[in-house]
This record gives sequence, C-alpha cells and structure tokens, in this order.
Amino acid sequence: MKVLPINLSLKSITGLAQVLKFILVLYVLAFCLKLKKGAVISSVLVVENGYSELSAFWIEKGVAIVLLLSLIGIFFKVTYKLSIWIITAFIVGYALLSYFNGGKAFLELSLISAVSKWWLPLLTSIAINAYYDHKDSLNRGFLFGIQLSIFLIFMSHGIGCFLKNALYIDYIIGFVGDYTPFSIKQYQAEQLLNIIGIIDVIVAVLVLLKPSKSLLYWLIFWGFLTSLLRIVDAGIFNYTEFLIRAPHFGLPIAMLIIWNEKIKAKDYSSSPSLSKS
Amino acid sequence: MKIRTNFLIAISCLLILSACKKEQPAQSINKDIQVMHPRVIWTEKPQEHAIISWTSTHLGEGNYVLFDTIPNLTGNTHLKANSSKDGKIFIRNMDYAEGIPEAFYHHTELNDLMPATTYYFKFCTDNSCSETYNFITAPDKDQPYAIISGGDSRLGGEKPRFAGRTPSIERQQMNRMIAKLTEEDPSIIAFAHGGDYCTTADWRHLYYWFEDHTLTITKDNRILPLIITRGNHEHEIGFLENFWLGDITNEYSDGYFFMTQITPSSALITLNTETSMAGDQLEFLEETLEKHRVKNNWMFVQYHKPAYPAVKDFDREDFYHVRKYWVPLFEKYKISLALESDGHALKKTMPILNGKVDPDGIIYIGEGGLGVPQRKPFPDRWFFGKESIVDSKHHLWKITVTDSLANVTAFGIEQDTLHTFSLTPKPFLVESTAN
Ligand SMILES: [Fe+2]
Ligand SMILES: [Fe+2]
Repeated sequence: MKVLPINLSLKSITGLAQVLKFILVLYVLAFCLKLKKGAVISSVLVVENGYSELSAFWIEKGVAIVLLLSLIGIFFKVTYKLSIWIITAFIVGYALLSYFNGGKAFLELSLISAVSKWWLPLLTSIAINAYYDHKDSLNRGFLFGIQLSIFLIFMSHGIGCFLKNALYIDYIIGFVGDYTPFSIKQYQAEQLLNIIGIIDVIVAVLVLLKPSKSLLYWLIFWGFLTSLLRIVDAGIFNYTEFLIRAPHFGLPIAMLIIWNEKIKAKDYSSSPSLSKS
Repeated sequence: MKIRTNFLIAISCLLILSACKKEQPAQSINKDIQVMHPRVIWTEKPQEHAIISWTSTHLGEGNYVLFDTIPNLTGNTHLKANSSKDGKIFIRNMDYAEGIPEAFYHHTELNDLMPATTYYFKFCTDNSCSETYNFITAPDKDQPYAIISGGDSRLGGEKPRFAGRTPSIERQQMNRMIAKLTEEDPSIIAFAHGGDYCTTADWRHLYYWFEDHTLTITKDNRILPLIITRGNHEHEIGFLENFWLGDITNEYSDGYFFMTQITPSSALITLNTETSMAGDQLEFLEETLEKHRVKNNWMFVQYHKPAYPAVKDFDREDFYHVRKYWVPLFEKYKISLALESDGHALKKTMPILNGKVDPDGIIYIGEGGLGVPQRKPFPDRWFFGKESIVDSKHHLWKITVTDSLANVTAFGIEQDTLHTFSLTPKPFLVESTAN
C-alpha cells in the first residue's frame, strides 16, 4: 500500500475533528430518530423475549436518550471519551441485533455496511484528541481506518448492485420515470446496476490502493447522491435513511482533508523555490 | 497508536469472518426414513394443478405422490406423480446448535386434476409413505366459497432464537382454529398466508413452522391448500427450497408473484414486496389486471408490506413504494379488497381512493396476527375511522364469497368475532380504465 503522509496542520486537524464529529452526529441522530419511531430493539424485546410493548418502547426510548446525551458529550473535553465508547457499544450492538433479527434482504451486506462505521467513533475520538492536544500529525492507522470504512461502504454497495438489490432497481426506475421524459425497464435498470456495481468495486479497491483527489471527489459526489436518493425517491420524511448514510460522503470528505495536506506537502518538497519563500 | 491500528485490522477480520457462514459436514445417517410436514400449494390454476410438498429425513432414490379420488390408497392402480424437485435443506451452524435434524425437501406437481374434487394422496420417499391426506381442488363453476387469510406466524418451537416465548402457543392455537373452522365450514377452500412465516427461513425456524402447520389439518386429514406470499423474514434460501411454486410459474416463480384463479369469476393476485415493485412485477400486475379484471367479479390482492400501515412508520420507503407503484393500479382496476400483513395488529382501513377516504375506494385489511406477538397500532391515522377496526389482537380473516356479496370476518384466537363487514362486487368495464 502506498505510504501516505499524515503530518497535518492544526487547521486540518481542526477540520477533520469537525467533519468527523458532524458525520457522527448525523449518523447517530438517525438512530435516535429510528429508535423514537420504534426499531429493532423493541421488536426483539416484544416479539422474541416477551416484553410488554410499553416497557420495550421505554427501553428503546431510554437508549435513544442515552445516545443523545452521548452525542452532546462528544462536544466536551471531559466527556467525549466516555461518549465515544457508549456510541461505539451501541452501533456495534445495534448492527448485530439487526443482523440476528433478520427480516431484511441482503443482511450480510447490511452488516458489512454497518461494520464499516464501527470505528467511526474511534476515529472521531482520535481527531478530537489530536485537536485538544494540538498535535500536528496522526498515526497511519487513522488514515487506514478511514480508507477501510470507505472501502467497505462502496464494496457492499457494489456487491448489492451485482446482486440486483430490488430497492436499487426501484430507485433507478423511479428516478428515470419521475425526473426524465423516459421510462426504463427492469432489465435495463439491472444492466445499469451492473455498471454502477463495477464502478463501486473499482473505486472501493482504488481508495485502498491508489487514492487520488479526483477519486475522492467522485466518492463524495456518489456517496451524497445515493444517500440523497433516499429522500428524492421517498420524500423528505424518509430523512433518517439519508442521515444514516452521512458517512458515505462524510468519510471521503475527511479523507480529502488529509489528502490536500499530502498534495501541499508534495508541492512544498518538490518546489525548492517555494520552500525558500 | 499501534494498538489502534491492530484494533482496526482485527475489526476488519472480524467483519469478514462474521459474513461467512459455514455449513457443517453431514451428520451420521439414520437408516429409518421418515416423511413429514405435508403441504398442498396452490399457484395459478388450482382447478387442475397443485403441488404436494413434504420433508424427509433422507433424500431417497424415489420420491413420489400416490393419489386418487378414492380414499383407499392401498392398491397399485392409483395415480403416481414423481417429484419435480428434491434436495437437502440448507442448514447453518445455528440450526445444528439448536438440535434441528438435517432434512430434505420434496415437491411434486399434480397436473390434470378434476375441479371441485376431493383428492386423497400420500407422499413417499423410497418405501416410506405418509398416511393418507386429502385436499379439494378449486371449482370450475362459480359457487360460494371461502378462504382464510392471515399473516405473521413467526416464532415457535421449543428453542426459537433468544428463547423466551416457547413454544409458540398462540401460533399453534391459531392453527388449531384454522382446522376447526375448516371442519365447521367445508366451503373454506384455501389458506392465503401473507408472509413472515418465521423469524428467518432458516431450518431451525421453518422446521417448527412446518411442525405447527400440521395442526391446520382437519380430523379427516383434509389439508387446506396454501397460497403463499413472501414476507420480509423470508430472504433466506430455505424459503426457495421449501416453498417451491413449480414450473408453471417459471417466469414469475422466482419473484413469487402470480394470480390464482379461484373460481371462473374470482381471483387472488399475490404480490411480493420483497423484490422490485416498480419493474417486472409492476408490468405483471398491470397486464394481469388488464387481462383478467373484466371477467373476474372479485379480484383480491395479497402482499406482505402494507400500503397503509397501522403500526409502522407510514413514510417508510417500502410502504411508500407500495402506494406509489401498486395502489394506483388497484384503484384504476377497482380491486375488491387488499390483504396486507407485517404490522402485527388487526386492522381494516376506511375505503381509500387517491390518498383520501372515499366510499368508492379500496379497503385494506390485515395486518398479521397468526401467532406473532401483537403490537400497538395507531388508530388516529387518517385512514381509520368509524367503520374501521384497529386493535392489537391475534386474528385471521375469513372471506366468504358469493356472486353478489363477500362477507369478511376477523376471528380472534378464541374464534370470537372481532369484526365483520360485507363487500359488493365493484362494477368494472373496460371503458373505466380509460378515465
Ligand atoms: Fe414483516
Ligand atoms: Fe412480521
């Protein structure tokens, strides 16, 4: 793997911490909203463990409140570490619970996508810590963590395309039907999905092996577009599905911040006149 | 920092491992072949065709069904149909861990049957045959009939995942009630299941569903044919293995959407909310309604996820897609009634047309009460009103159909009447689609 510089200016560290905090807030907020409406925790408690619906909902709401408090906690120096651990425990537990509860297509892919965010709180914590400690560099593992997350997100998305995820097919058919004068058949949508799948898998591999600025711009654009499609298609009330995908474009933004520093550092070292100035 | 890097690598390895589910090697073979779990499945033409499905403890070399219109199947002169599809049921580690025995699925198609006829049958794997069961084919003339509709029968057995509610008393009780209702009213000809049979379609769950399903068999061994819908808890391979729809629906059987012509003027369209709703299935729905609605006085539609949910979030994209893609066709072709599941509550909406309560609209009933613990519905949603029912009670719907009237009754777990209403056929002319 290409060795990447991880010396960062304080401005970049600050930017990284802010971006990661923002992504984490949107991501966890989506869970809070899901929990408020009734989600997998209450379903498992009621259906599989015989809890009364009232107590299951209160447990779920209680979890939502703890999560919200944890979200607030990441903005304070004394509480951010505890908050990060609580959030991590939640997102890991929730992903596993959703997986074992079943009731969804492509459970394995959903799990991979969920796992890709398991270390997002940890990355956020490292960035916050670097910001508080005025550090000017980050460990390579930090960058690798971001790359791995992006890889898993786009890889699971690409595999979902190859497996002809019905929701993706309907997004394409719906989008073309609603926003263009054309209509598209299922087999055509599936052909398009194959192309999208190939692109997703290629960019997923490239982000690990040969990242570049243009690749990151593509990831931001595509991650945002596919997230936005959730509300473009099903309306603004489907916003939790958009929020929960904030890392799909947020993590490439975080990586871009690091990448810009790399370009700067490269320009600086390869331009003697610039280094003298 | 090194620890953090290792942590990230460890997590990624964990991810790859957790996504891989390994099959265990075959267990030792028991020489005594047992056959079990009889089912009769209806697809498109129940007057002349049915699928007999069963489970056995060994694959066997010969799998077949002996059948006849006389109850005594001991001689050698009876009709014999060899199985069309057999195989080993996929088993995961969790199935083994819960002590569920390895098993094999078998499906045999019976073709060229006579309408409105009682067929007696037994199914065999090698020389091990079941006892004699019977079912009645659909009529080819218009006559009064009834079907049972219901969904969400997940959980059950001695060791469902997370244990807790064992065994599934409610599911078993609902199944016993289906047998009793069928004994009391022989005009009941089919059981339309709205999906979510079990928590997953893995064998540790399906096994107990099949065990409990035998409780729907009447005292005289009559089996009510199933018209199956795919629910969101049926994404595993076990569903495709164990609920096979036969070659006649090849074009659509993978998608699990088809039309059952129950009588010459009465049909039930089964749709699949777990696959693309806007693609091939939408074309199928439009073509089917265009071709068949005119000659069908009664056109019922069943599918799993509701257009008008009583419990779950109304704005969820899957429910929205049902409303966006299918409901306009339901309304254009004036279907008689929509049968929904998934919510785990009892509901009957007000008649709905163009997103509003309208006396000329369609009533949606449901929403899944065949044993799954019931949830609390939201009766204040706009599509509930004076003539609605919204409750948190186990239930099934019995739809009794005559030429001029359909009586629709929700029965509770004690066979108590929870709600009842009548429908008249909606006049439909080809010209009405032009509007
Ligand atoms: Fe469901
Ligand atoms: Fe369900």
